[in-house]
Amino acid sequence: MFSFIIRRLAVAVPTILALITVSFVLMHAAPGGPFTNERNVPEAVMENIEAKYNLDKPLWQQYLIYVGNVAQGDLGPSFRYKDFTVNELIESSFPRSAYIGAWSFLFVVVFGVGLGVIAALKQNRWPDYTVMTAAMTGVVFPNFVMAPLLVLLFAVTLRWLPAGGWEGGQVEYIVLPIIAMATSYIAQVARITRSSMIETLRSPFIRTARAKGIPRHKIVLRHALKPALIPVVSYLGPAFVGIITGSVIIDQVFSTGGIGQHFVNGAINRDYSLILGVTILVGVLTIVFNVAVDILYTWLDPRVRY
Amino acid sequence: MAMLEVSNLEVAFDTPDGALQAVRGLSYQLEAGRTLGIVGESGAGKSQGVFALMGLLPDNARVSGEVMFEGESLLNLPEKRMNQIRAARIGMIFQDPMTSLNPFMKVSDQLIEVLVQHKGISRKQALQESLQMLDAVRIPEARNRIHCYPHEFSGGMRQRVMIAMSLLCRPRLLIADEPTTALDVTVQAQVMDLLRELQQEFNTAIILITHDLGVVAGSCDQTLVMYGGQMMEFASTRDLFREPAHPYTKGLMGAIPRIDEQMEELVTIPGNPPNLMNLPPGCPFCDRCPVAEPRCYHELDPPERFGAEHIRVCNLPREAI
Repeated sequence: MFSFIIRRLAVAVPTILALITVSFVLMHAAPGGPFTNERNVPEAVMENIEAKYNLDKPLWQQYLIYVGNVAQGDLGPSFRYKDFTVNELIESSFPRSAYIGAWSFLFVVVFGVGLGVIAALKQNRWPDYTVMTAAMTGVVFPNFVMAPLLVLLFAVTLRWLPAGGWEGGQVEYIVLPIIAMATSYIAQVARITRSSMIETLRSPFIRTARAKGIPRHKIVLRHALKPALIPVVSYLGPAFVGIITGSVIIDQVFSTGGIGQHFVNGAINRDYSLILGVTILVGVLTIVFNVAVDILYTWLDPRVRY
Repeated sequence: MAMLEVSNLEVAFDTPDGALQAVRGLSYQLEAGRTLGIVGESGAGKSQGVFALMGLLPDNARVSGEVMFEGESLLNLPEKRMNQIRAARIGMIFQDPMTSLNPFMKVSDQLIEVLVQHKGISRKQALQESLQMLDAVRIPEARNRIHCYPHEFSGGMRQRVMIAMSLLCRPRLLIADEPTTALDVTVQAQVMDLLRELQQEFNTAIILITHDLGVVAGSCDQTLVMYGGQMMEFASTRDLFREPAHPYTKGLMGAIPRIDEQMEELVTIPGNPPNLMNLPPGCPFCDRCPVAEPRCYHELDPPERFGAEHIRVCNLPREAI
C-alpha cells in the first residue's frame, strides 16, 4: 500500500510537467498577449515591460525559466495584479474557496447519500419520486441561475442574510455560497447513490442476508451501504476538487473573493502566470484526490489490493 | 401432521408484458429429518417455489396457496415474524457461494450476525460457536481463516462456509438451492457427503433442489419432478427410479449418461421448456412428450395416486408410457 502511494505520486511529476507544457504551448499559441490592448503604448515602454516579464526571450527559454521557478515553488509574478505574485493570489483566495468547499462537500455527502438511499429504499413510491424530481431540478438548474435567485430571495426580499462579502467567513456570509455550490452536486450524488443502491439490493448476497433473518435496516447499513458507495466515491474524488476550487459564478455573485474568479479573469486578461498557477493547482489536487479515491477503494472493497 | 405441508402453491410475477406463471398448484409434504429432492430443468419453478416459503421473492411476485410449517402458516406472515423463522428454524443454502456470501464482509462477521440476531448472545460467544460450526463443516485452520473474506476461500470451502452459516441455529429445515451446481465434480461429492452427515447429526430435514438426478438418487428419500411450474411426478426416490410413471421422468432418466455404454451422442429430450408467459392449457410437457395424444394439448387430468404415495400428473395410462 505504501509503495503504491509512492509510485502514484512519482507518476504525478511527469503528469504535472505534461500539464504545464501543454497549457504553456496552447496559451502562447493564441494570438495576442497580456499587454496587447487597444491603447498604443510607445515601443520603448513595451520593450521594457516585456523584458521585465521575460517575454522578449525565445519561447523555449521562457518555458525553462518558468519550469525552473515552479520546481522551487515560485509561480511567478502576476501579469495583471502587478503588486502580487501568483503565490500570493492563490494563498489569499484558495483558503476561502476551500472553506466554502469543505462545508459544501460535507452537505453533498450527507444529503446526497442520505437522499439517494431513501429514494432507493422507497423505489417507485412517493419519497423516491420526490427526491428524484428534486434531484433532476437540481441537476438542470445551473448555479448561475441558482445563485442570483438565492440572493433575490434570502437577501433582497426576506433580508435574512447578507447579499455578499466574506467578513472572515462568518456563518451568515457563507450560507448562500454553500447552498449554491452544493445543490447540483447533492442532486448528482443522490442519483448515483440511488441507482447503485438499487442494484446492490438486487445482489444474491442481499438475498442471503434476508434468508438469515436480518432486519431490513441492518441489511442496508451493514451489507449494502459499502458496495453501493463505490460508484459514489469514484464520482466524489474528482468532484471534490471542483468543489474546493470554487466557482467564478459564486465568487462574482457573492463577492466571496475565492479562487474561482481567477480561472476566468486569468484567461480573459491573458495573465500567463496566473493561468498556469491555477492549472497546476487543480492538476495537483486532482492527482492527490484520485489517489485518495484509490485508497478508499481498498477500504470499501476488500478484493482490491495494490 | 407433517413438518412442512405445501398445498396448492402458486407463484406469479407481474411483468410489463403480463403475468409470468412460475409455479402452479404445487403441493407436497415433508416429514422431520427427511430429504426431499426437487428436480427439473431451469425455469421449472424449483427455486421460486422454495423462495416463496421463505418470503424471499421480489416485490412483483404474487403468491397464493398455503404453506404450513410446524403448524404455522408461513405465507403472509409479517416481516418481523418471518425474520424469526429465517435461519433460526429454516436455513437456506444458495447456488453460487461466490455471490451469495457478502464479498465485502469478513466471514466471521457474516457468521456472528446470525447468532447475535437470533440467539441474542455476545459477539465473543457467537465467534466461539461459529468456530465450532466451521470445524463441523471441516474447514481447516478455522481459527485463522474465520477472519478472512469470502474471496480468500476456494469454491468448495466457500460452500462449506455457507452450509455452516445456514446451520448455526440448528434449523429444523434446510433448503439447499442447487448447492453443488457451481462446484467441481469432486468437490460436489464432498459437499453432498457433508450435508448428509450434518443432517444425521442435527436431525435436519432438507429440501434439495437440483437438476442432477444422480445427486437425488444418492441422497433423497422422496423426489418431486417439476416441469413448467407444475408437479409431474412425486414418489419415494426408490419407487421413482424403479418405476418412473411419467414420460418426462423417463426422459430425464434416459438422458443420464452411462459409464458402461459406448455412446456417440448424449441423449436429450428434444425441444425447449415452455414459455411461462403463455402456457398451453393442457399439459406443459405436451410439446416435447414422445407419447402425447391430441387431448394432452387441451386438458390435463388431476393427479393420480397409486402404490405407496406415488403421485403422477399425466393423461396417459401408466402402461402406455
